[in-house]
Amino acid sequence: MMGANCSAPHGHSGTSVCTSDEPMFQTKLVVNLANFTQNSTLFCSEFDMLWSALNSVYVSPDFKDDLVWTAAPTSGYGAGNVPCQHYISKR
Amino acid sequence: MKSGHHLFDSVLHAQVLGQLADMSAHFSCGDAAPVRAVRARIVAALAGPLLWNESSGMFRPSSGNDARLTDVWGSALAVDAGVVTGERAARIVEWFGAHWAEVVQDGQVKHLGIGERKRSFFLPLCNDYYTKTHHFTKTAPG
Repeated sequence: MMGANCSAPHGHSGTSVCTSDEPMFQTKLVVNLANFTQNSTLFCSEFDMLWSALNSVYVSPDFKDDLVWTAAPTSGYGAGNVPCQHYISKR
Repeated sequence: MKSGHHLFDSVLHAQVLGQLADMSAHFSCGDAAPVRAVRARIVAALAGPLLWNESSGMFRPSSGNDARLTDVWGSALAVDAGVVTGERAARIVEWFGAHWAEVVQDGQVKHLGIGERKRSFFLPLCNDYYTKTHHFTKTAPG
């Protein structure tokens, strides 16, 4: 798959942008594909990366303790897109 | 652009965490416990007053400048994803029963309650949120 939680392929991170909701959709894709195919290898090999990516959005202190999304400049959908490298570098 | 805390992303996040944890258990790989723990924190936050509108019986899109609005999509997804249960879920279902003709038209579901508008609803460039979420429902004006 492409950079697991980024719409842009590796190598294009300098010029492309991701949205902070990307990990959710990547996870949905993998979970549904694994469920459809019953391919445990597909799912299990991606689990740690997906989990890490889902947690990466909480790096922003703007989420505070309730883990509810906010409109902080680099978090929360619609608050702005961030360079893909922002995510890739965290993995 | 919404300000404050956001409903839809938070509900979607909780839904995805649940799906990830369920599949982890299904295939017996990965540690589902911390995934479920994070989901539980989000669900607990959403169970509070932060984004709930007691008078309408629906969730608000955000706690900031859209707090006066009714989040039709987010409330529906919250029920569908099991993020909200019990009395609140029943009230949301009741709201849809009372407002179905207003928010469902030609197979499309409005984002907000009748007559409600968001500020700067569509953002330019790379805002593919509503493309990605078409699995849930198609868009409709307002």
